[in-house]
Amino acid sequence: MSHQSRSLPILGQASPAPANRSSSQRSLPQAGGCCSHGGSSCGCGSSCGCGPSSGASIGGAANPDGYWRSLSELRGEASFEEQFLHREFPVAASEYPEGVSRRRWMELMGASMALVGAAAGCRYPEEKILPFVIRPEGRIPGERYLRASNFELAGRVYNLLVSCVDGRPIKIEANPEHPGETGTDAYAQASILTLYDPDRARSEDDRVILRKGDGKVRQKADWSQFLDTSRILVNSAAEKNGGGGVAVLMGPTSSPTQVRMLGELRKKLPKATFAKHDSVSGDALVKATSAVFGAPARQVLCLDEADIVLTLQADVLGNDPGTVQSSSTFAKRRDPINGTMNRLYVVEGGYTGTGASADARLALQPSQIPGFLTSLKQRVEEISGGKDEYTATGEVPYDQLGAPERLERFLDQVARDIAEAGERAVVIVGDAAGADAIQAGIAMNAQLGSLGKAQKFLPRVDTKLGDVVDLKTLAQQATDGKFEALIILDGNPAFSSPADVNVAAMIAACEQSIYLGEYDDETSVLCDWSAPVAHPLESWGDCISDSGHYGVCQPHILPLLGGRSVPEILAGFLGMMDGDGEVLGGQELVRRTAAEVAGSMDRGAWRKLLHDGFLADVRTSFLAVPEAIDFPDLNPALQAVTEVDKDQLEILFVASDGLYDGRFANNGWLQELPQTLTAMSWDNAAIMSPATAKAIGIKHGQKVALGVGDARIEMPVYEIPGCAPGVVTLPIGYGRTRAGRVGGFLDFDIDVVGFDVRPIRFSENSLHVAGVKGRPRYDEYEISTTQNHWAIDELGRKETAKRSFSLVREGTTALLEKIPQFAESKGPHVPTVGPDGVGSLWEEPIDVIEKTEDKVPQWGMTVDLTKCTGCNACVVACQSENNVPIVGREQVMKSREMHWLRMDRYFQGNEENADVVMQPVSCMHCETAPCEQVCPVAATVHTDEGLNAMAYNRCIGTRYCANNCPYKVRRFNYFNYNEEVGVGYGWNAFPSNIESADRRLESLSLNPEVTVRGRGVMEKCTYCVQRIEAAKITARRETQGIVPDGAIQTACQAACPAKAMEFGNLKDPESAVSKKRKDVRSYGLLAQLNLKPRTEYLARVRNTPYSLMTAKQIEDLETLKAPHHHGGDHGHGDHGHDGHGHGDHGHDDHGHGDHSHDDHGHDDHGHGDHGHGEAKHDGEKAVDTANH
Amino acid sequence: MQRFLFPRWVNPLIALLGIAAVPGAIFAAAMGGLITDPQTLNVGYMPEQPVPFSHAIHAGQLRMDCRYCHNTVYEAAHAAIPPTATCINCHSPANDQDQSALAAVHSKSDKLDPIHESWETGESVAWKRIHNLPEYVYFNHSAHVNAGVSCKTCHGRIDQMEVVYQHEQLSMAWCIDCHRNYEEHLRPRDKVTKLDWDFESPEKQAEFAADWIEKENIHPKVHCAVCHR
Repeated sequence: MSHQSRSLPILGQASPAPANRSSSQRSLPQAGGCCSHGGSSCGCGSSCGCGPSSGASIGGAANPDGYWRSLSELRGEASFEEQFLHREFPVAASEYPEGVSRRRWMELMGASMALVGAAAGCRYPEEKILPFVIRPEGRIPGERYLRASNFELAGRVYNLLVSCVDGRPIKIEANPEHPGETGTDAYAQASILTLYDPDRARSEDDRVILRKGDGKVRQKADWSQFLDTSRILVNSAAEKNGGGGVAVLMGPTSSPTQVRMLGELRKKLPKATFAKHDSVSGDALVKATSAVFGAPARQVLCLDEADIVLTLQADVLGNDPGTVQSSSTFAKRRDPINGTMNRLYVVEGGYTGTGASADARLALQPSQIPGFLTSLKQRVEEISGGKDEYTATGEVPYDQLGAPERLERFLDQVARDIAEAGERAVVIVGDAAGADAIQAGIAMNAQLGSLGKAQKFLPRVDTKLGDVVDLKTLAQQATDGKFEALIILDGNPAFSSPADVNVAAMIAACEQSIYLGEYDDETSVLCDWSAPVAHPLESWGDCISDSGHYGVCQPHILPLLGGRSVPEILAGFLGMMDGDGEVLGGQELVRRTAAEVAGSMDRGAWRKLLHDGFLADVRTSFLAVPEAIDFPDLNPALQAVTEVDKDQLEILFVASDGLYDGRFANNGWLQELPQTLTAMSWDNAAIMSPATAKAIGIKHGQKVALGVGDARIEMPVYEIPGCAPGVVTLPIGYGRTRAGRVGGFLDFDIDVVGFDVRPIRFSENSLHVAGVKGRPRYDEYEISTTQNHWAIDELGRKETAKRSFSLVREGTTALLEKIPQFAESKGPHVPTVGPDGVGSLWEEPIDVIEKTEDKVPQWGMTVDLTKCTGCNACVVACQSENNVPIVGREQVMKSREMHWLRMDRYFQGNEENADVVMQPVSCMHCETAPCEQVCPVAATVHTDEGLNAMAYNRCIGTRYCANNCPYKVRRFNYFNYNEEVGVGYGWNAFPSNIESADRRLESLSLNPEVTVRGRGVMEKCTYCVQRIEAAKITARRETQGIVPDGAIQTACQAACPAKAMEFGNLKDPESAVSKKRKDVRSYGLLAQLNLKPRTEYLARVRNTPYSLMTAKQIEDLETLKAPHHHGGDHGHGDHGHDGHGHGDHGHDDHGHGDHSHDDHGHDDHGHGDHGHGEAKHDGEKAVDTANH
Repeated sequence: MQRFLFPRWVNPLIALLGIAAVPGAIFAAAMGGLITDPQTLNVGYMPEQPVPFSHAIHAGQLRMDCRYCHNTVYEAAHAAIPPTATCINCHSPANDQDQSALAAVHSKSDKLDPIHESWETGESVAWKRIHNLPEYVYFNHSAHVNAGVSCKTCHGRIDQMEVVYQHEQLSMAWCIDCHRNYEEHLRPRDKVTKLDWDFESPEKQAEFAADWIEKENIHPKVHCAVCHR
């Protein structure tokens, strides 16, 4: 306490329990939310700058010490406690789903019983084995094999290995041999499910649809008919006027083959109009890069090259293209102990995943970004020029400043850091800020010297096509009657276009319209012809990856639903024939492009290219840095906005985390994926801060009307802290009316999912619109979100509240220097029941095993919260690997989502300003697992290798284990969620089920190595036991049964672009996971319960400069003490020892942490060295044990 | 409450029920136990195959190695039923001129018709599965043969079977029994498919097993996750 130089509020230290607790016990979450809202926000949200006292009054009762999962928890609303904390499942979670009446249910049950009676003989049903007639060379039936592939989804290029079994792709992995940054994300992982989506089919037998006449009546058609018609169309147009009456609309592409084929089409139709439409980003980056480089370019970020990263309305670690590249390089510099830390400054209007990863964040209206940039440039120049008016100090912590002071301090600190870092600083401006701001960012990087290092630009592949117009121009020309024929290459413009472009009128104005699309969607229904495009996993293609390498996409299965790739269809249009008079196939088309790229492509080279997936020696080079880049005049000047004007709101449109622009709407994994900050699943909403909502006069869960001019939409409000005042974030892509049976299809009475925000989205800036009017609509709407689900109960630990930062532990680099063991200090005391049985009355079985069976590996995992960006790739990867079912919106609202791995989000701060920590949580495989002790049938038991195994077949569904799990990671199958996929379970496991299933194609996505669970069974993370066993069997064959370190990668670990997870043998002190666990930051979740979790977390470290630290961070820095150790305690001794060693190390390596040194050096604090001395002094005993 | 009371005339029947209960219980236990015992249910299961393939001739008399057909056994979970092409290597069908492309053992044989038909049409031969484990059991051949467990430990003397039948129970208790007492089932890796080979004496086997276990770290486990995932 001696360091405490000023009194700081400890949030909610003495705040009483909310008064309304008993009165609204049974209310719905949102209803409850409304009741207590008024009381808690006290009229002085800290945005008005009323200083330290504001925090204390807002604290709330639920978690007085600062971390909360949602505003309702922060406010201590009865709904949260009643619904989610005290009960395992929300009220009424044990009821039947709506939609199936009790009577219908009985019928279903009766039918199932009858089936059993008929089919159950004395033995299991006879099975047939159908071997190949000629087995393909190298194919081993039933074994996984990996094939390289590269493809582009939603503007992101992936370098992948596709894992297949018996000829069907079942899992996506990153290609570790690719020279670029590799990793996956949720879209890539979920592409497996889209491949097996039966709704991609146009119809049962005729895959091409022809719609004729006024009513667009469906006609039978086939591929040859379609291609013949199209060929005649192209030929006659070419003869008539060089194709003047033909228009082609496409999305952005990185595929050289597709561009080459479009080039061929252009050669044939030189007067045709080509248009490009980027449904999400618009054309700001295109304009900016055209101005700078003379041609549109693609941004590639190498964040490991930068010490200081400033993003302005750019979601580089979240939804921007190139997120895998950015996350991967960013995480390389997030190692505070053995490596170095960069510093991420984020300025944004809404709250994004990038903002959650920030070291310091400023909520700023997007309209202020240009002004911010101008001011920043001016200051950086001033500071570099020696003019130093130091202002970034002050008594009040950063999070308690008023908006103007906060802006000033942030700007000052950023400018200072950037000026100091010089070419090691990079400024990244997002598309929403507009072309000029992006250009200004590039100009600034050029001036700093980081352009071409941390921020690089690759030439866009599709610029080779020549002049293209935008969608708006095309629509205008079409309605003017310029075109006779319109060819649309995927992208569903009828849904993804902005409101001021009437795509329906555009299509109607053309005599003939052809749509090539994956689905029979909103655009397809407007066009004459609709031809299915094959999925990337079933077609030939290519792309240029972020590293500039040429990569090939090869099919892993023949087109399941009769689709063809776009280049193949274009070859058909052009009548490109091979020697045998057949239309050129995809392979030949791609091979010709590859030959063009590589210079030549003989058979050997082609085989090698297919094997590797990329050409190692041919590489598109990054664009050279131009000599001079203009810094455009940016308006308006920067000013801090504090008041929310409900007639001048700003809207930010963002690609939604799962659906992108709506193209993944029919993918159940992505629909159900809880979104990064809101955890909304199967829903979107108007996301805003409580202050904005208050200004409009609305509350969480009620509907708001947002209007621009005459256009207006209504959607529910979702309040989260940290959004700039007056800024509303709208995720696009929801409200599809013809997505499919998952994402909504009105013609089949399938409900639309979410709300369409298109009516107020305009092509001028498709990501940002200002001057929006917001009006309350008092309809209630229950948003489907998992944010409050599976809350880990710590209410019973209120007595340790002051130090109960135990679930997520975070600190700053300064704190790490001062107290390396801060993660341990922040947690409660962990009992010393060591592996030798010290302190325990008996030896635990696992201890005996560890002692006696020295060759049995002991599996464990670590998750580095400093690297994790919360991108959700692991969640979908787990779902894909482990056959985790999709449950649907209604079930999600009952807290029945089945994700084995969930992403917990904890906010810290107050209602208006909060930091976020993401934490992936799955089964911890506790050595003394509480679930095992309560299972009446021993269905969950421990293995010799330390896994907490589930024997599904034994499980009788008592759910005691889930009740007794302190981490809430167990999931119960309330229904046969796989029924419509065609997989039964237990007594209902008949191969014939598949014949009658609705979505039987989807059953091909199931991993054959994992049991498909059925109704009444508990399930949870298995540490991917199938991968462990596979590695052990390989080891039996190759390495005398010893599994080498790194041979096992769990699905989540392999998917992670940031490489935040490690998995391996804890018994081997040299294994990566053992080393990570020895990291001083490593802590076990709820380890104080003597559960001995096998998964440990490495505490989050933020590289926050002193001037931008929050009150809590400063308090930690000043008052936290090194952990107090008892003598002779081995378990702890280990920790202390490592802490000490690493601490020294960290100190040496902290070249980049210099700023933070200086900053707190200026203040009342000791320098790093001193900090160390003090740590030693304070924690004398820790050092003692460390010297053991 | 009234509706839960039985009428008075039921009372004598209760005694009758009591008398019937004892033999009834014995009968049920015996029948249930016997019928559902894997020994009754599974051992000896011998379905008729589309082709009367004789392992006794091929593996026994001709002394072909198991791996000529089941060639993935050392690398994969499945020992892989051979593709039709493997049969055709020797039993290539004769054409109209009585000539065959490859070696022509029984190039015209009714019994081989399904094979020849498969070869000509490209349709698989539908063999019937004999050794069938429940879908929640993940057995892996390569783990066992690489550890030195002979084929015959689980399949019996296939090389003496005219028609293959299930020789062992393949029940969980049977699996666990072997996982607990594994030493006696080990032999050199290259002798795994030599069904007629055996150690000279049990002592030699024990001696070998001790060395082999040490060298190859063979410690089979009996926890659930070994087979159930």
